Amino acid sequence: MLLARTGIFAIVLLFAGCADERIQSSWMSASPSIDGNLEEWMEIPRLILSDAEASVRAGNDSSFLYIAGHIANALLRAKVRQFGIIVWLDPEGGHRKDLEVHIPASRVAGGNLARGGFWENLTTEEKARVLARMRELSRGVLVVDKRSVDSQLFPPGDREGFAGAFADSLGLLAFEARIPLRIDTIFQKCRKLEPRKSLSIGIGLGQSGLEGQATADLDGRSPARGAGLPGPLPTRGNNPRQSSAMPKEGEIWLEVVLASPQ
Amino acid sequence: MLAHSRKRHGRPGLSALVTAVALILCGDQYGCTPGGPSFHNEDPRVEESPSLLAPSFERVWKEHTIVLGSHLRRGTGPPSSSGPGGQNPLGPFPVIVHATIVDSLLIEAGIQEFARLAGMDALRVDVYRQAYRQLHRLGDAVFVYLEMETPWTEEYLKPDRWILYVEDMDGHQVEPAHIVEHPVGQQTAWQGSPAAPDTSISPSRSKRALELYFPLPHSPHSHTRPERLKFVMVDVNERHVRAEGEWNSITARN
Repeated sequence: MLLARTGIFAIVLLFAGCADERIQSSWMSASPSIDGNLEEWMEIPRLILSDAEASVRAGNDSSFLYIAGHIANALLRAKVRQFGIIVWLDPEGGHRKDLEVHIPASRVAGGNLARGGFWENLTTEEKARVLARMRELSRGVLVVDKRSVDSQLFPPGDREGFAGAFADSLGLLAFEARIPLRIDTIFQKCRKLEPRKSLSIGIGLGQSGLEGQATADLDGRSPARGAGLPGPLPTRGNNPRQSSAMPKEGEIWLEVVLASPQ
Repeated sequence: MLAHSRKRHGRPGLSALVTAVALILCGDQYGCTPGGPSFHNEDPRVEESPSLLAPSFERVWKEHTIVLGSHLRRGTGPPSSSGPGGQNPLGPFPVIVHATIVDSLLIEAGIQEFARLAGMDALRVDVYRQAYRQLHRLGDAVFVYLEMETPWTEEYLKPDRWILYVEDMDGHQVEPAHIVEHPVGQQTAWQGSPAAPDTSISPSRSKRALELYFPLPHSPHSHTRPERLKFVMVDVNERHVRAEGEWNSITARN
């Protein structure tokens, strides 16, 4: 337990010194594939977050803002693999957490397939197909707008909306995220992002990355996961409202200035 | 009326009510009415986790669901050390209940969603729809899907612990003629909740689903569609422990 708490403290410290870094987004003439492979990013300047043993890059075109980076810290990599990440977007430049992007969706979203009795009438093959589809969806990105209590799921392969991916190899965890500039067309209470203007982006560990581990220590249990792919009575996922209540020192906040066409 | 006796099967003499609810599965569509005192459908907006299922289905499901006992989620559970029941004249309600009236609109939304996920063709969807209607006695009963969870004893998840009934606007009441009990499941923590309902109790909770089938009359002669239908739960042992919520007709509301 002491070891686990030390680990949590270490993660908080890793993120603690990295608040409000400023990064200039680069204009990207070709859209990168959101697959965790950062070869397309080699020309984009990176911001080194030495305390976190991580780096971040930002790029945009006329439709999307792209964020990518690497994490080298072994403990942090393990936590991100386990819990995913949350990205908060504040177009006003503050630290508001009204709009949060969960990568992957499975850390917060589930699906109670048992309720209503629809599951029972499926054939074995159909059940297998449903489960496969749910697993695929769980690898997507969930975006929650807490002001309008609205959420939207973007499945893997979606080309219009939010996207995110991880890839872990050779001691580095690479991550990529795609954010539509016209957020207002998806969530009406959000302001659209515009070239040459800045926005704040917060990055933190996903659901239970910090709090869940602490609970597990106190209770002597494994942290509960919300993915909840179906059994007879699948568990419900965790609530994204609570997921945003991470300790403030456990986050990275960046001021990203969007590029305009060159 | 029925709150004074507990029976698992409906009574023939309750035809007034069953007539009133008879049309629910014959094209009537219901939603839920928020608000009210005490445990009356306390907070229908109780926080739910996002779903991987289609928003169209989830929205219809939510519109057909009333939530009772949601104070447990807010960490304001039974204050009495004697456990649920306590001395509160209203009686702290020991179970979080999601009661969903499965009407024609919700059935079709569910059929379409599962057909989409399973990749069914049109022919198979028809067969699937018929099988669903047959399994769930549609045409013979009003189907209410009940999801219950409690941090307290599993006794609270047994249907025998409760007087369950629906009541129409005229006060006619009917109990379910048939109940299907699903197994009790465990959840290890109050996931996503700001706090456990009480620090003195286990952080684990038990949950169970019940299918409630309320009887329909053999020859319905009412031509009026009930605008509202109330669902009531009363603790068999402590009658003051009671909760209720109300579905209203979406068609009437529109």
